[in-house]
Amino acid sequence: MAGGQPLIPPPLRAARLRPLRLGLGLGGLLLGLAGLCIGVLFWQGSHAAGSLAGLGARLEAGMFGSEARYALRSALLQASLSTLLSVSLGLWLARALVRRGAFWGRGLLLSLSWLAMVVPTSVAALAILSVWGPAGSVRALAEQIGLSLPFGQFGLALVLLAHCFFNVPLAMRLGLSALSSLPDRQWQLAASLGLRARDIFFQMEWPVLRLAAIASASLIFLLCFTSFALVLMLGGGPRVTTLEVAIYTALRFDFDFAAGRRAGSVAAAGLWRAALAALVSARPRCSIRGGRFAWLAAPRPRHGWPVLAIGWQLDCWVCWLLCRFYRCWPDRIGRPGQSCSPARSSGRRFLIPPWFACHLPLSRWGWGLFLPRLWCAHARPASCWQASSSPSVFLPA
Amino acid sequence: MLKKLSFSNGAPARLFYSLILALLALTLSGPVQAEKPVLTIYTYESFVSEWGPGPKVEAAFEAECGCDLQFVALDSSLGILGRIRIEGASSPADLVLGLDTNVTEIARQTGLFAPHQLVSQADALPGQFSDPDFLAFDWGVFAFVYDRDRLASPPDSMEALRRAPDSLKIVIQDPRTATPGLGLLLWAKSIYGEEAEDFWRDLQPKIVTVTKGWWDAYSLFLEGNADMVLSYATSPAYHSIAEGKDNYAAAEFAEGHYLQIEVAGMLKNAPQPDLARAFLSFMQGPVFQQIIPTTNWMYPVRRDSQPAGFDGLVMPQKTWLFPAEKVAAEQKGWIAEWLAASR
Repeated sequence: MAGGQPLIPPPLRAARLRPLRLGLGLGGLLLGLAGLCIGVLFWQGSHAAGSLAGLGARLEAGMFGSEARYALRSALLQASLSTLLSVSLGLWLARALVRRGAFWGRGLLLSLSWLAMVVPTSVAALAILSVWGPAGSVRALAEQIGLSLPFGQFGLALVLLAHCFFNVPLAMRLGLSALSSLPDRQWQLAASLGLRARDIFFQMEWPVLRLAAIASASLIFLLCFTSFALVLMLGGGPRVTTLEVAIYTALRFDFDFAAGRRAGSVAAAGLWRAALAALVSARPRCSIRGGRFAWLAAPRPRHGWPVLAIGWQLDCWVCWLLCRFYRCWPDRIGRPGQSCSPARSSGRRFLIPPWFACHLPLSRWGWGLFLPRLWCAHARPASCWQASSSPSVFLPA
Repeated sequence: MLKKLSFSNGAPARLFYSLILALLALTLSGPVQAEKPVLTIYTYESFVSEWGPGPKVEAAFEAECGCDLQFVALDSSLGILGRIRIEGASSPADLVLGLDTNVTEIARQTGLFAPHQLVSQADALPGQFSDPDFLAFDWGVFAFVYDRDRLASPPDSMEALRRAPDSLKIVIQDPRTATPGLGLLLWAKSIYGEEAEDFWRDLQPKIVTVTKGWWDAYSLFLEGNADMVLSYATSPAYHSIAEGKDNYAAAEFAEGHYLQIEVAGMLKNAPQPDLARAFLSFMQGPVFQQIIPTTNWMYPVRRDSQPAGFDGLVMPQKTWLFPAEKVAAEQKGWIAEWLAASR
């Protein structure tokens, strides 16, 4: 680099800082959360006999069974590998597409990459089986020329292949849009300076690709962590599983709500908190005043009844959500001989929501932490209504 | 408001509103107009498919009961049980058809079933079966099915399958989601007892995949993904009678095969208890029993209804069947054992 000056002009860099921080925060939270989950699980395993035996045993019995623990481990491994493969391949392809410039069929290729993302998962699984599976055409071809493929048998390899099929195009599109944001002037400058490919990558492409990598990695990790149909069809049995599959099998097999709840608790604890963390981490965006698209924001009430009415609407929504959870609370439907039938629970069903409805507004400030919009509406009504409606929570690039 | 709108929009709007009103009236009056009593039966999907026994059974029973027989198709016997458990006492079903003896005790423990108070007509079962709440309607044994053209010498016992080279590929079903899968689990437990976990470990390299349902596994086998598939000893009859193909066969195992008896039972809160009981009687009669073999591909429970074309099938000398109480009490532990060996 000439004179050690960065190629990216300062204003551009400042503009990127915000999504970078957001992306880093989100990625860090996700990783931290995953670590916390694993930590708690292993801590329980080793301390169950200690002074906290009672608590440990209760947690063990109530929340984390060995099946859920295995499912979590398996899902983490599978999702991490899928993410690593998809993001690296996707960004590599995005870079190749940008380097290649315009060519015949580029638009078609990009459309096809969207198509890959909207194909129903079970259809894709069957297609992958017929091409890569044990009786698939690729395997047959490979056998004819005397090759034995390392993948193609049911199991982790096939699941990774399927996840790449869905997620490489996603990462590629994100990488492509990130790279397209580089102004032509920079390419011209790089050419006139005679930069080598390696320097172009590290000085120009990587700073923008990094953001796309973080964004696509967090999204793809979540998608693969919660993958269901692909894992069920291609996983080859109980060895490769996710929490969703564990919940499904537990509920199918003699309606074991306790086991389903155990796996569900782990999944819920992980993903809900990740989602909340994403919302909470989006809060700093509230302080951005104006902005390019401020004129697009809907007019919003600032004082008095309308604010309260919006608060109540959100309360009702939370109420409704909580009631759904309450209706299927395993303690009530897990007992032998009892059911979740509407007739049985009608009394409580009508009693509980009003109770929640009265209670929630009182604890508004407590809930504010979890509902940034609500918090924003009360704390800084003028500045931040549009904040969390931005898709940049997931896609900082 | 309505008047004002129709005036402002003229005749089309009036027509539109009257159509909506007429539709509403039709919807509301629908249930009132039904004359015949409705008998609702929960069963599994393949029973009601167009090539299954459902349509013929429905026509035959409706001809003699003066009622409207409605089948509700659920994905499997485990699915039926799950649905009954969710709906509880308020279930609209009168009867449940398609549970098997492995889950009858679990079903009984829900407290939702009523005694049928009928005398069992089943005289062709390979063992004694009598249950106050459930009546058998067909039976079969689990077996590994193979293609003679692809596999010349199949294993002749469970032990031979266990010791077969790893190049022999089989596809089985998950015991937590599919009836045959649970059948194999119990089959292995009957033969190996405490050593079942070792059996599962030895079998692992041969298992191509563990599917969630019977059809997933069977179609994988038909497409050539595996040499053998866990199915029923009567499955080859379908290929020979319906398709005219003689290359599919079930491997007979020296240790004996595990039995599956499919049953039906009526619910305590059945809206039509008399009709439900009438159906259970009909189910044991010759008309129903003669429909079963070539539509459900299982053996009928009556001697006088034995089908032609089932003669060449594997008919094991020895059959295994755990008491339903033992399955209900032990299956969690056994499944955990299978899970541990499968990972």
